[in-house]
Amino acid sequence: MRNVIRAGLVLITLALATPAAAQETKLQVHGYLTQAYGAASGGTFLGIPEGGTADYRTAALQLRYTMSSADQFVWQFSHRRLGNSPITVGEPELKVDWLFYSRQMGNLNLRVGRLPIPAGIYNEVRDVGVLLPLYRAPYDFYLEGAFTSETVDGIAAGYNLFADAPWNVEVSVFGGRYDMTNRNTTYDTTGTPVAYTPEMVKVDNALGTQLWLNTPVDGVRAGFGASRLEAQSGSFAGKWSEWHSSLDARTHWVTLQGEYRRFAIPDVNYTAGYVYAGVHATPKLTLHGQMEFSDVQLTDTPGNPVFDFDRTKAFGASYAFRADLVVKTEYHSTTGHWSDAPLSPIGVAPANVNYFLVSFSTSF
Amino acid sequence: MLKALLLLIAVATTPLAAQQGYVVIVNDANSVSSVSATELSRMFMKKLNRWQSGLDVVPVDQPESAAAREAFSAGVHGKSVSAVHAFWQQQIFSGRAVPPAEKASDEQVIAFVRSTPGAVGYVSAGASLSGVKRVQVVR
Repeated sequence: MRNVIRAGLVLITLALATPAAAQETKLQVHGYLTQAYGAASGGTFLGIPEGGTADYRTAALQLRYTMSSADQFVWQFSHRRLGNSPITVGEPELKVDWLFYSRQMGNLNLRVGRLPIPAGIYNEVRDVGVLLPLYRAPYDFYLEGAFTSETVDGIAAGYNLFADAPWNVEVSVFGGRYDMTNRNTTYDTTGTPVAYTPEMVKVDNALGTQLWLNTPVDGVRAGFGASRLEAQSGSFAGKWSEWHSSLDARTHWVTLQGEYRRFAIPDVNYTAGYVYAGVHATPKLTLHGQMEFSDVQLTDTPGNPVFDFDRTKAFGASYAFRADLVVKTEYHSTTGHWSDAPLSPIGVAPANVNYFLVSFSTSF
Repeated sequence: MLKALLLLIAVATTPLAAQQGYVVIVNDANSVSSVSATELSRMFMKKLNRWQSGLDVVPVDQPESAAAREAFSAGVHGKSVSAVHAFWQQQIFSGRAVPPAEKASDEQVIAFVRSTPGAVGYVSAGASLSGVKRVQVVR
């Protein structure tokens, strides 16, 4: 961590000292914050306990140094609290989210450093409350902080094909490495699950792509992405592959979204998806409904059994005082194996945990 | 009757942008005399970065509270100011682009466009355009 911060300071200092860039220098600061209060019934879900918690937030500060119209450095710090969720145990209070150099060459964009992974509708912005319909991006699909990463240490390129045509394609590719947290179950000597424990995993040789087909209808697009990686340690060490598809339609009155993904992990296939509908009742008030699912197939077990891993329904409302000031309230009903408590790994009956969140999001 | 006819002709021949409360301007040295609303929108969304002459496009915006900004957003982007704001939030927080620079008044926009060869901006329909060139917005 310290090395990354030092490297960032050096890069910014070098950039500031570059004489050729001095006449065009521009440092911009952006940030976001979402603060929530949540309470659950029937157990604890993603750090939301029955007694309620306000220790639930995401925040980030972004520094962007523009050297020219084509060259930028971007440095973003972030902070996240999910109550006492096991997936954030060991997570620092402040971490370097991104640190990358970006160069635009016509329709081609190149980025090098620690950078956001383009994957699906929300991966790059999955902590930005003002851009999310509900508190978090759909959990079954995006797996906030577990088994996935928001960023990669490496390189990414983006290109807009047929940029001037009504139908055009945005293509992104990325490669590199990252660390991710997996959620592992600890059992006692009798085989009874006793705790969920985070498992830090180093990922190498990550390679992926994301394509968006933009249609002539403004706000309507379809996406497809795929990736592969090598987990170097942990319960699921080995080669992983993944693909996903997305539909995203945002109109004046209604937003409709759906995404589907499939992971092939050593010994496990994980399939997940969701559909979301938002009705913009007024320019400021939006009503939300969402259904998520995930299934797990054990590929190392005779018969390759498939389990309903999670089924979640959510509904809520948000009020945008301004585009950068949003208040949300939402209710989620979950049945499955994601709850922190009761412990319900596969083989144990699924838990039914319901929770609500009230949150406030802002950005600048 | 004649007056009404003349008024009708005057209104019909007034560029659409001016009728809607804004005028699009470029640097005097820019050879462009008209631009389509689609191209203009792409310039302000930073999706079209070069003029045909090869010059870099440098869009300059007005504050979100400005009447000209509201008219420009509706007329050129076909979106509300807050929808355009949301687009830029998505761009900023996915690590991509940042919005065009904002100038606080018509005078500041004009001064910026006057001094920047590839600049394109918009000002209130009644603003005094000295040292910059007005371009027509074509649908």
